[in-house]
Amino acid sequence: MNNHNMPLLAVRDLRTYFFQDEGTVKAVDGASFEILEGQTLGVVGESGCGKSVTARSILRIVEPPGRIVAGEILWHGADGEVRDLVKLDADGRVMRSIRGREIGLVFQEPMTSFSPVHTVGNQIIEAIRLHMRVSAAEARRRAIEALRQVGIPQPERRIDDYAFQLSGGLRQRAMIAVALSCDPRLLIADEPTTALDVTTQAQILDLLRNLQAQRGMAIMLITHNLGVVAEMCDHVVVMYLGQVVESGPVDAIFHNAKHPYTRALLRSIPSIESPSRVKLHTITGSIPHPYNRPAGCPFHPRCPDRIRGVCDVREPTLRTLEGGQSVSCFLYGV
Amino acid sequence: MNELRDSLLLEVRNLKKYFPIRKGLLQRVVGQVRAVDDVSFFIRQGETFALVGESGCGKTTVSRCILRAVDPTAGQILFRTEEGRVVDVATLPRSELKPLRRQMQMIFQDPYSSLNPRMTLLEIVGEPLLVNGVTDAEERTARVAELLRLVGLRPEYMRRFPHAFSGGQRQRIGIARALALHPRLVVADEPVSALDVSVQAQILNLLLDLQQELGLTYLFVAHDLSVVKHISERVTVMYVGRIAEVAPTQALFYSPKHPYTEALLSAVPKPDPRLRSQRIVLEGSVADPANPPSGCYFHPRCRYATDLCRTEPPVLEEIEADHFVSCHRARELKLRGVVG
Repeated sequence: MNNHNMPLLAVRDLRTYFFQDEGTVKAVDGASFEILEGQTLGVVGESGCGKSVTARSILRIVEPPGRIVAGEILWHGADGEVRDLVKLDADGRVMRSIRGREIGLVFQEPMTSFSPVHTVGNQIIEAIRLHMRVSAAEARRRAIEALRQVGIPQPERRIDDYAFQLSGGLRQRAMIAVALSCDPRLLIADEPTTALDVTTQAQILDLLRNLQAQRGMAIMLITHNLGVVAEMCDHVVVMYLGQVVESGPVDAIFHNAKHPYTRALLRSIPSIESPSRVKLHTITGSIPHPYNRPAGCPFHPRCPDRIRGVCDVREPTLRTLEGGQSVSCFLYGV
Repeated sequence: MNELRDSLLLEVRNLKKYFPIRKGLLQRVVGQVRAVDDVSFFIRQGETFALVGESGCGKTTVSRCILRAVDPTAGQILFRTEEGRVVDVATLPRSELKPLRRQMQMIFQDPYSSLNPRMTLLEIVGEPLLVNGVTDAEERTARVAELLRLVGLRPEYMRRFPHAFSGGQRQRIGIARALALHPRLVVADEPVSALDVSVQAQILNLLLDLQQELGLTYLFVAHDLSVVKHISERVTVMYVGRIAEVAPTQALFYSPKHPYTEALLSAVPKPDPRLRSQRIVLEGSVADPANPPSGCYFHPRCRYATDLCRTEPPVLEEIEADHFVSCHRARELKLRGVVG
């Protein structure tokens, strides 16, 4: 059962809620998408859209009071078996063998993700020895190799450095080295370049692209930067308030966007290509507080094209259009 | 000495700011971080002037020197006051700074940490008024209401606390506070980098509107080149405490003359998958300002570097009208700018 049409990961109607004293935050509320083998999926959206919680749900590291309340996360394992990660025990043997081993994770903040009291090398070695039966010497050799692969100069010396001794770019590379040390089939990168300067960002994006070409791994790239998405991704998922509002091939998203939110988002970014000192299009209002989610379509209070009596009452569902694009909007059929 | 051409609001001449590195029990000075090393530029009245560069290039230190939040090591910062006098901010005694500070205000990066959570909007925006002699509560309330309206907030909300507002609204509050005393120069240090894309556009539009309405001059410090291109009229690119290039926005983006500017522009990811470009990926990392390389600071990463670049530091020269470059090969190189 190993063919390329079978998605590596399929998320179906995922709902992850946070139950707090003040009320329930529906951080992810019915998200569906797929990641194909060897491809890069971009997940875009503004703060609070649920993109990071989606990633944490896939890895089953959602912290209480958060909980997956519904949906399926189908993972096509290396052994050929398809498992629903939602049904697995988050701390069980199977999930632990997938997390970190088959699915690697790169966090946004390389400074806070590394332990300050252990060397970078020891943290990579820990990850390797957790998942593979190798000797300490062999693990160290692999760790040095991983650091070399991500382009850290003098890895034999750098392996004994602490995180604070590395620059931002090197730290992010080391983070990627940890994630790649066990040769994952899917790399989830949550805002991997947000804290970095543009020239360092370009280095890291190049690195990810080269590693992907070498190993054929899939990447789920979570970002708010549409430029990074356009440069890196094959497919794009646009999220708003916990829901997927649109998904499709990258070219269709940037040149033939359907959902009013995607279109507004694309118009509102200042581009280095666009003329100076002209008014930018804006999206009116701001992202609603998660406790006051609007009824109906979550975007309707800010939507220029809303249909009264429809969008504010009923919730749209994701429907497939031609060319592999999907959109969740009543403008494309009720 | 302290002369300023008529059209200028501010001129920075040979500004230097060194921070000492201290070590050991006696805290002896063992070296210096040259955060700002011989920087000169001018800002015209009513324009938006941007300082760009990567972290550690000294752009924020320059803006802090201009506000005299730190004392410069050397150099002049000439500023034309409301009364038409020209003063040197770099050497002005502390006692004379207070009236001057009214004329230079700052918009901060982080709208969450720059507003006191225990003060209402009325207190936050009214504080600069109170400090500067508007002691009548009624007059102050009226002025705060007017300022809130100016930045697109409802005056009814002035008795609320900052936590009730979103990031974009908080940034508007910060802008209202900065404008309370009719400043002549507004220093905005990364004013939109902490905001979501859709909110970023609202704030950039507001800054443009306010400039037209009030005739403000902006010093815009940022690392996001797309934002800088959008808002500014002239741009300075800094690298390791020095100026690489100063030019009008169009010239800088479409025909850059410094290899570092070229690399920066090509590194910006373009929001269009059809433009996946052959990026120039710079090798290595930014030079250490405590231990900079010889010659041109950029030469170890520059693909056009020659022997001259390795030994001789270049000087900032005007190679076209209003286009200043600090590169030995600026006149001969044909560099790639932004397409479109």
